[in-house]
Amino acid sequence: MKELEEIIRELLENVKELEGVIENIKKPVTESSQLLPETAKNIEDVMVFLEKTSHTIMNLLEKINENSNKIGEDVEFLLSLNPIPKVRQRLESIKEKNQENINTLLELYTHMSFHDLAGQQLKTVLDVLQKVKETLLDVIVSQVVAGKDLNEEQVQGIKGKVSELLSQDRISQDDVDKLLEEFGL
Amino acid sequence: MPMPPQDIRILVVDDMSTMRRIIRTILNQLGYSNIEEAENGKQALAKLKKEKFDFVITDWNMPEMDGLSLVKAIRSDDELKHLPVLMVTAEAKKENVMEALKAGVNNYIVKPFTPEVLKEKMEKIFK
Repeated sequence: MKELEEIIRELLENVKELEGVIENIKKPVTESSQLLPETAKNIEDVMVFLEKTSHTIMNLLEKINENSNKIGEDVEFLLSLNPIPKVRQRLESIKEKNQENINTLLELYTHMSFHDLAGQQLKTVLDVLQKVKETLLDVIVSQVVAGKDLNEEQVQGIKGKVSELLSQDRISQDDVDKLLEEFGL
Repeated sequence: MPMPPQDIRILVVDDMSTMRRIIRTILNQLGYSNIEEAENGKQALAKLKKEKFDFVITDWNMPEMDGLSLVKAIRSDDELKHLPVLMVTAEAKKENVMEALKAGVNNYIVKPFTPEVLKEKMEKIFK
């Protein structure tokens, strides 16, 4: 009998210790699950800003390009008037430099593809965040479900609800709590 | 005799509006002015089935339908299978290029690219 009491006391101590561990894990996991959607939103904002700014820069580059083309046409016209050699020489030089500028503008324009490349990297980060979000939510739910006497149907129901929540843009601890409430947890 | 650039009808497929604009501008500078745009493979395929195009420039990574699936769909369609396709993508691994070539792309450009590279690939395809 005394031996049995000893075992039970030891078991209870272990359970208490475990509860402490779970409590320690739960807080950072819950905080992280709330931070992740915010981070994802920030990254999406950066992507929108990048796109908007890229278009603004491209508008300006196009304006300069238009002016350069106009200068090119005017120089061609002046050259067609058969000017004296000194003037012709200067006009030829302007034409050459103007063409150089047009080529540089096109090169600058091409470099705007940095937006696309940066965007793809940011999308990868968003995908990783989504995966982390799923794992964290899974961990939170598992913690609470663990030790509860749930049948398979209930576990599947929770999983289904988790999937529903994950398909939404943002999830929070409130979502998790509501979900658990629905299952009497 | 090759078609004059202004007569070649090109479909540019990319989910990024900036990339579509860059490609369109470079093509304009190269003399190609008959250009249409699509935001993903699905949209592109719908346009290709509805209107006549001579050439497709497509990105790889796009939502709904990616570039690789678009190429495969083009190659498996009796009406479209001979359409030249150029892939312009950030996917620069050897296996990516191999996969795209197996799917049936006519040429492959890695972003970021220069206007000269695009010009060279276009000329090679239309030679």
